[in-house]
Amino acid sequence: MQMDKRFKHLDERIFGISPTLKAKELAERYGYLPYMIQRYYEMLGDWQEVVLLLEGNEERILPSIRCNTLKIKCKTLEERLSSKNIKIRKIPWAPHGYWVEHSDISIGALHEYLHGYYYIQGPASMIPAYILGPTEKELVVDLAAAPGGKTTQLAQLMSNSGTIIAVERNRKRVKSLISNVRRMGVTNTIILNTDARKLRLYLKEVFDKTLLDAPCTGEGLIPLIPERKRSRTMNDLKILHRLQVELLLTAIELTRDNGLIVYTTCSIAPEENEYVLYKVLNTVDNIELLPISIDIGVPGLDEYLGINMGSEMKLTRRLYTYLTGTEGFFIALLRKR
Amino acid sequence: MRIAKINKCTKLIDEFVQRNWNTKIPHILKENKCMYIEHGNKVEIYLVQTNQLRLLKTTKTEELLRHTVFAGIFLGTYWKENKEFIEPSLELGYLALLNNAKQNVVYVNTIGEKLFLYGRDLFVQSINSIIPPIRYKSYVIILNSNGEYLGLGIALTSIHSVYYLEKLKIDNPRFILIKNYIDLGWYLRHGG
Repeated sequence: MQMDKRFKHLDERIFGISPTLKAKELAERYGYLPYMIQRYYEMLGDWQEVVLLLEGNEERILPSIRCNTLKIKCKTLEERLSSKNIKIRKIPWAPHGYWVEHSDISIGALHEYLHGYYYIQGPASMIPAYILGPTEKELVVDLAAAPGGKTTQLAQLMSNSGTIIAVERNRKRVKSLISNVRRMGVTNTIILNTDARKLRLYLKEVFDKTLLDAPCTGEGLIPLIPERKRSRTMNDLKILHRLQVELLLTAIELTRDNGLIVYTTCSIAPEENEYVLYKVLNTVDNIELLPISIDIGVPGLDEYLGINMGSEMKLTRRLYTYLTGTEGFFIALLRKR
Repeated sequence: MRIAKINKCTKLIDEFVQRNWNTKIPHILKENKCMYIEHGNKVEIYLVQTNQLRLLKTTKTEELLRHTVFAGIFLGTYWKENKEFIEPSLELGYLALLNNAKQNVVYVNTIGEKLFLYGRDLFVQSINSIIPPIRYKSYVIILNSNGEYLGLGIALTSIHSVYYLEKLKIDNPRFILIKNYIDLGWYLRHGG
């Protein structure tokens, strides 16, 4: 509550944005809510760049898979898929990732899928687990785990050793999380069906590493789910922003000193990314942003709507579909001091 | 109401594995612990690694268990009033396979594999080979021709030798030998 007061004037500026005539025109042409387009202009600072972003969102993103080394060697998977006339290509920044360039059959219906030899996962969403880099003896928490793409990837990177606590509040989504954990042969995971914010009551400063793929508007998924162009209002954004701040503060409380946290969303909205980090970094003093080792996308925004977010925000990464050919994404790596 | 507890692994599991697949997994059960999640009379059993228990000891165990819905490896389900009757999970069959299952194992051909993964029963003509005996009403491990695990079935008759299997194939190729109990297609059909 106190924090809300401290940032009230900034909240008013950020969530009170009103669209110009140009934004309304583009919104009409591409089928978006006008406030979204105005924000894209504020982010990119150039209407031509905004049009490139909007055009990029109209393009098809190639499906992609992550080979599950808990169950199969990637080379063997490559050969098996090739024998079924499925054309795949390695994703340069994802050691286990492949673009699926051609498949006559749905990649979610192959026997190899049922065997858990791969997970259908967006290329950008493979990055956070690599950045977090969990090792075999560590204790890791995934705070918004369903449907399990990142949890199962963490388990893979840990060779099914150590322990993962996977938390999911939504009971219906827990079902898919359990199913994927089982299908992928993950055995080092405990799944909790609870609100991650409650964990601070009994799991404080326990975890070596924390992954927070925060619930978000999914604004980066517009190329895959065009309905998102109109389905989220500014008020939804405001509600999610508050939740994201609370979850990141929780993540910090759960992580031990010198532990790492990855904050990520499948959204390109500054309100869900840099502004969340800005509030948190200005609320607690035991956390710092670190550079990200995978060179993809562009640096985060150090200024938005005239608000100086801090030069350290350049250490985060933004992925835009029109620049990377992936779903839109945001990634930040933090260390607790 | 749901209650989760951690305890030694019940010997019921070991007995079940021995009865169905003539192999033992006591070392696995001894080295680890089991978590029991009770839903009224129904009890789910999970095999939990000892290092996961380390976490439970360092925190408020009760709070953690209250919200736990899954841990480690799901082994199966039993009912309090009939503990002998275990409903094995896909994973329990796989665990038995990894520990040298010595009976009730069936290898199917490509057609049988497809049908089985769609939840269908297995005709005797779909079966390439067996590790005998196949015992009536036992749980049978189903493998494809590469030896990959496809799931579990229930034998509808006993077959004590490969010779008898071959004879049955000639006499009655459409005879349903294995009823589908659970297969990997479950992940698509019911996994959510």
